[in-house]
Amino acid sequence: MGCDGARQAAVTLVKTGVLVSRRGGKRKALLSYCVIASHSAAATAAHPGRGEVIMSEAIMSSQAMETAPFDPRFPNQNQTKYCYQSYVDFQRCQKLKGDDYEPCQYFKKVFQSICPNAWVEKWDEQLENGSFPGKI
Amino acid sequence: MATWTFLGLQDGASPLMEQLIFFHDHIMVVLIMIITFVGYMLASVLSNSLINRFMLEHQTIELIWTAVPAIILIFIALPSLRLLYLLDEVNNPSITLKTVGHQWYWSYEYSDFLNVEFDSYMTPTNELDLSGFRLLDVDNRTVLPMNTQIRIVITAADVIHSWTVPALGVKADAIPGRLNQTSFLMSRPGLFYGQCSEICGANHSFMPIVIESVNTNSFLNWISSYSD
Repeated sequence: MGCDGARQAAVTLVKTGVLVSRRGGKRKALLSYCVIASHSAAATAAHPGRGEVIMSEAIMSSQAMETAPFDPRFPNQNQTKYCYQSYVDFQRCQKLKGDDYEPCQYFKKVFQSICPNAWVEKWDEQLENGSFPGKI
Repeated sequence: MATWTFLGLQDGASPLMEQLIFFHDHIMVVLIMIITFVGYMLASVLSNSLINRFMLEHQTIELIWTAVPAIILIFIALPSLRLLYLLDEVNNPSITLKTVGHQWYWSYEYSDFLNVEFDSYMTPTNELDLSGFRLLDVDNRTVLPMNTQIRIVITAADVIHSWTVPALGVKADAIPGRLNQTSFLMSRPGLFYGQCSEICGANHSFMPIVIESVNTNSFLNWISSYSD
């Protein structure tokens, strides 16, 4: 998943009116996704085939430590929205593109890194019940 | 870590903390000079029985003792603002640690590649061995790699707590329903201690934080062995 992958995911969500950029129009929103994903793009370029993370490789290589990148949409201390937005974006991406669409995994990587596991479990339960408060 | 009678700041283990210490020392010099000067003036006036019958107006000295403090304040403000902006810099972390405050322990989650979760309770004093630190040691320490930019996301599960490690210059409140992010880098290996900093009930003083800073390979070995 590189800049293109994240951009594809973002374009889908913007086109269908799911994602609306608050400032600067569509271009800026897409650009921010590119900035975010370029970090993972660099990592993918440096380690070809990292798309499928092989556990032992990731563990043993000291360059493999990678986490959710800085997101300019959420520059301050309060990262609650980053967590929630990534979770919701992942669900929407999956709904729109199906479970096999690789670029959706970017959102999953982010919310797994940022969101407390208890929150993710609670939201997963709510999704199963149909009581999740967000619009997917 | 601090033992009793520690009045000053702990040795810095992070570049930002070192800068905070330098700033603190710089301000301390200015303050001591002011206090010495004012103290001397006060003492000399109090021990003097003479009275100046013609003390009126004196524009010159009024000007001096208005302008000089303003200049002193500029000497304090400039390094302060520099540091303020330095602390707010955007950096690219390599690892994210999540910590959740509970009554009365901290739980940690490393979810970047493997999902490692554990709770960190204080070692009770009666179970402490002779070399242990009372009210500071924990059963499971938080191991982190040194020389790596670390993002820490702090929240709470019940009431407000506060996560802090003075040696790293980090403190942020743990508020239920909110994720507070802060970032640090440890420049040396070692053990760094902190204590919960927001009143959270009966055992508020008994939920410490211990960070064990190790080299990257040791960290990777630890985390892979933890998940097994």
